[in-house]
Amino acid sequence: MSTSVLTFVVVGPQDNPIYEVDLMGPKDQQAQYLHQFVLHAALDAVDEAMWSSKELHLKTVDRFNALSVTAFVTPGSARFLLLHDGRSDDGIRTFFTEVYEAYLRVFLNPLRAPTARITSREFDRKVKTVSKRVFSL
Amino acid sequence: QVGHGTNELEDRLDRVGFDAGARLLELVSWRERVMKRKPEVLDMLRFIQGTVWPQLFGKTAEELQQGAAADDEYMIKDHELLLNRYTSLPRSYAGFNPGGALVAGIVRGMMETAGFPCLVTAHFSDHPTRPKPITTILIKLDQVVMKRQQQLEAGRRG
Repeated sequence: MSTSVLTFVVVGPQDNPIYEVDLMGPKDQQAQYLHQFVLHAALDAVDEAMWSSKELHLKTVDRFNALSVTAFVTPGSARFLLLHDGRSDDGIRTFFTEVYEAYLRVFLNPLRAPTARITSREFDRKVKTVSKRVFSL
Repeated sequence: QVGHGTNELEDRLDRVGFDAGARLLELVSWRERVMKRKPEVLDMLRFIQGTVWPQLFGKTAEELQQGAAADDEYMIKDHELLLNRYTSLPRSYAGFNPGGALVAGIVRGMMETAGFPCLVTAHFSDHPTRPKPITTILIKLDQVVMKRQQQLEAGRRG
């Protein structure tokens, strides 16, 4: 099992997680809880940062030991959070921008409630493909 | 005054508009040359008047004003709302603005998902030089938004 950390979460406009994936593959329960906790705690930092910036990319908003949380906020207040242990800013920017396009397609679906969990297999596939390319997994 | 049953109709139009507005915000933002968010209320309102309106109706909304009596109220005015052009109403619905009600929902959907909770209503109002009444979209911002604006401005001055 790899020890490198790369977890991606999408939080919807009403503050509920609508998508989560561990890009390094499955991990033990302790690590899962820790990552969920760190990401959840980082939300406060994101909510603060998003009001003082006009940018979509918020860069690193929070840290916990060796872990960093980098955030991206859409105009419609969906928040993309990436938990990692030191990835390049450029790579993360590319990842977020490409995932945003996929998110937009999911979000524009008139038959999907805006707060519903993202169940699209296409979206899941796109996220994993982009991350493999950008993060050289 | 508006007639019977219009409140329920307004609510339904508001809900339909809300879902459309939430999606429109993301889509219209995506289509902009440079993508930025709008943390300031006035920027967001100008975006709606000047960028969203042309995408929807082929023109900017004619007026954007702050409320005379209240600083938490803004009005976007359309001199001839496209959505009303081919609608006709029975006499008992006189005064009801159906296109306006839908647009009010759209505006609310955009404002709320951008992080500006508010109440949005549509009205017909008289215009000094135009023969037919114009549509006024009235946006009443929630106190949460006012507080945040004050904090942001204080932060800048401090």
